[in-house]
Amino acid sequence: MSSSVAVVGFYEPWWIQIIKALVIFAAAFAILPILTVYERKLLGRFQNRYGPNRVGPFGLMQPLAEIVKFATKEPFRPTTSIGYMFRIAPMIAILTAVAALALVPFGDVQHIFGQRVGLYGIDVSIGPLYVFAFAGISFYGIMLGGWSSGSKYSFLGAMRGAAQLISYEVSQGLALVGVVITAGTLSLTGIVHAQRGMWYLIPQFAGFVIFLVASFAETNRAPFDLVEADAELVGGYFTEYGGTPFIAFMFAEYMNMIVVAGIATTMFLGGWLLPFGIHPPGWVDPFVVVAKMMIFITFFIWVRATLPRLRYDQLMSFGWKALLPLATLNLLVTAILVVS
Amino acid sequence: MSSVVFFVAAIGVLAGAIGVVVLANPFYSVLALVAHLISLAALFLLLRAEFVAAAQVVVYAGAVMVLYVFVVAYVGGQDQPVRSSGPGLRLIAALFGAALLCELWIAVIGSSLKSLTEHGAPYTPGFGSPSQIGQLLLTRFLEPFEVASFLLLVAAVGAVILARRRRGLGDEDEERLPGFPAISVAEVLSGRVPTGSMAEAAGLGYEVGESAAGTRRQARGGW
Amino acid sequence: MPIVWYVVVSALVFCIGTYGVLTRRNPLVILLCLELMLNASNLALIAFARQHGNADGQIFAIIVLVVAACEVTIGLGLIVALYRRRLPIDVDQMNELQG
Repeated sequence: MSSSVAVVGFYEPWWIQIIKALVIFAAAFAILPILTVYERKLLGRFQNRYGPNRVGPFGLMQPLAEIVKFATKEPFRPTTSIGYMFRIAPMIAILTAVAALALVPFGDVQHIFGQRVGLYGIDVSIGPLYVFAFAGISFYGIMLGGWSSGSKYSFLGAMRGAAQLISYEVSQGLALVGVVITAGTLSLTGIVHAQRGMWYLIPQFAGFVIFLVASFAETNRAPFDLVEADAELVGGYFTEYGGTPFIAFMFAEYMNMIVVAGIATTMFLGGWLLPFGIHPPGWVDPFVVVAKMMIFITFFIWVRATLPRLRYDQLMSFGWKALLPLATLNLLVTAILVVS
Repeated sequence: MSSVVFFVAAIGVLAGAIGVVVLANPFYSVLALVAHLISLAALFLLLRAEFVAAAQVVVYAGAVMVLYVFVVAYVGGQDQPVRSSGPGLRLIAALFGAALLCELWIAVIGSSLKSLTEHGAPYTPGFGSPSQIGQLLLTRFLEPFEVASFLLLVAAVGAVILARRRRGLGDEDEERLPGFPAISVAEVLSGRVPTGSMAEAAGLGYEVGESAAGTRRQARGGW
Repeated sequence: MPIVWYVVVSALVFCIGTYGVLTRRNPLVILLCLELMLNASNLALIAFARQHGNADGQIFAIIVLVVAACEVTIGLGLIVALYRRRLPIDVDQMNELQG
C-alpha cells in the first residue's frame, strides 16, 4: 500500500460534474416513487393481497396521486413546536441522504464525446468515511424533527433513533473495514476493481451479514424500525409532520435505503462487474448496479414482511453484545489473514 | 472560489462559536457547536486535511455531540441565565479574552510567524490522505497512538463508573428489566431469541418470566 | 487563501471559548466552550501542517480529537452523576468536594 493509492481518479471539467450531479439526482428522484409502489405491491403479495392496483395500469400511478394529495394539504404545525427548526429538520434529512448518494459508483470511467467521465458522483480518497460523516449529520434531521415538534411521541422516537443509529453505526463501519483491508484502498471504484477475481461477498461473508443487519437499523427498516414503531409511538419522530415535510422525511428514508443498497453492492457484490468473465459494453454498467441494488431492496422488503419488530432492550443488547463483538472478530480475522 | 468557501466556512465557524457562548438554552448551544464543527470540517478540507475533516464530522458531530444531546435531554434543557455570578467576573472575563486575543494577534502578525502570509507548501498528492495518516500513526507516532487508545479505554471505564446508579436498583436489575431475559449470542444463533410477541406471552414460544406467566393464566381463564 | 487567515480564525475561536468558560455557569456549556478551545487549537495545528507540507500536525489534531472525546465522556458522566444526586447543575454551587 503505497501512498499513491490515495491519488484517486482525475479532475473532470466543472460542467461535466454538474451534469453528472443532475443526472444522478434525477435518476434517484425518479426511482423513489417507483420504489414506494414496488414496496407496497410486494408487501401485498407477501400478505396474500394485491396491493395498490387502482390508479393507472397496475397501480403504477399511485405515487403520483399521493404526491398531489400531500402537496395540496394545508401546512400546519403544533403550537408547541419550534417553527424554524421544524422546517429545517426535513431539509437536513434530505440533504444528507442525497449527499451520501454521490459516492455510489454506477460504472467505470467511460469515454463520452471525447471526454473521460466517471459514472459516479465523486470518488474521494476517504471513501466510506464520507458516507459515515453524512450519516452522522443525518442524525440531526431526526433529532431536530423529534425535538422541535414539541410532542412526547416525536421526542421518544427521536431519542430511540439517536441511540439506535449510534449503536449500529459502529458495527456497520467495522464490517466495511474488513473489506477495506482486503482491497487495500478506500476509494470505492478501487474496491470494485479489486473485486475482479472474486466478489467480496465470498471472502467477507461474515462482514456482509453484519453490514446487512446493521443497515436495517441504520435505515430504520423493520425489524429495527423502533424509531417509528407505530404501535407504540404513533409515527416516531415525524408524528407531527404532514404534507410535503412528511414526504421529505419519507424521501430521505427511501434514499437512505438506496444509498445503503448501493454501498453494499459496491463493497460486497462487485459493483458493475458481472460474474463468469462477462464484459458488457460500458453503458450497461449502471443497469447492472441498479439491478444489484434492487436485489437488496427486495430483500429489505421481504424482511419487513417476515420478521416482527424487536423490543427496544433487545435491539440495544443485540447491537452491542452480539453484532459488535462479531464485527470486531471479523475485522481481526481478516487483518490476520491479510497480513499473514 | 476557495476564498469564497473560506469566508463562508469561517463565518459559520465564528457564528457557531459565538452561539455556543451566548445562547441561554444548552440545547441551542449544542446545536450551535454542531454548526461550528461542520463549518470547521470545511476549513479542514480547504487545508487538505481530508481524513481529519471526516474524522471530525464522524467523531464529533456524529458521536460526541449526540452524547451531549442525550445528556441535555436527560438533565433538562430549560433556559438558564447566561449571566455569571457577578457583573465583575463577566467584565474580567471579557477583558481576559480580549487580552488573549491581542497576545495571539501580536504573535501572529508581529515577530516570529512571518512566513504564514504565504500560501503554504506546494500541495503533493496524497497529503492528508488516510494512507499517509495511517502510516504516520503506525510508524513515527506509534507511542502517542497507543497511549491515546489506552486513554480511550480509561475514559470508557470511568464514564461507566461515574454514570452508574449507586442506589435503588441493584447491579443485576440494571442490566435488564426484571422478567425480560437479556439476549446472548448463543440464543441468537440457535434462534431462541424472544420476540416479545403475543404468541410468546401466551406461552407458545419462549418463556418470558413472571409477568408473562400472569398473562398466560389470564388468557386461559378468560377467552 | 494565505495560511494566516486560518490562524486568525483559530485565535478568535479560542478567545470566544475562553470567554465562555469564564462566564457560563452550566457545566454542560463550559464543556462545550472547552470543545471550542480544543477545536481552535486543532485548526491552528492543521493550518501549520499545511504551511509546512508535513502531516505531523494532522496527527496531533487527531490525538487532540481523541483527548477531547475522553474529556467529554468523563465530563458528561460527572454531570449525569450530579443530576442523579439531585445536586444543582451549576459550577458556582459545586464548591464542596465530597464523594
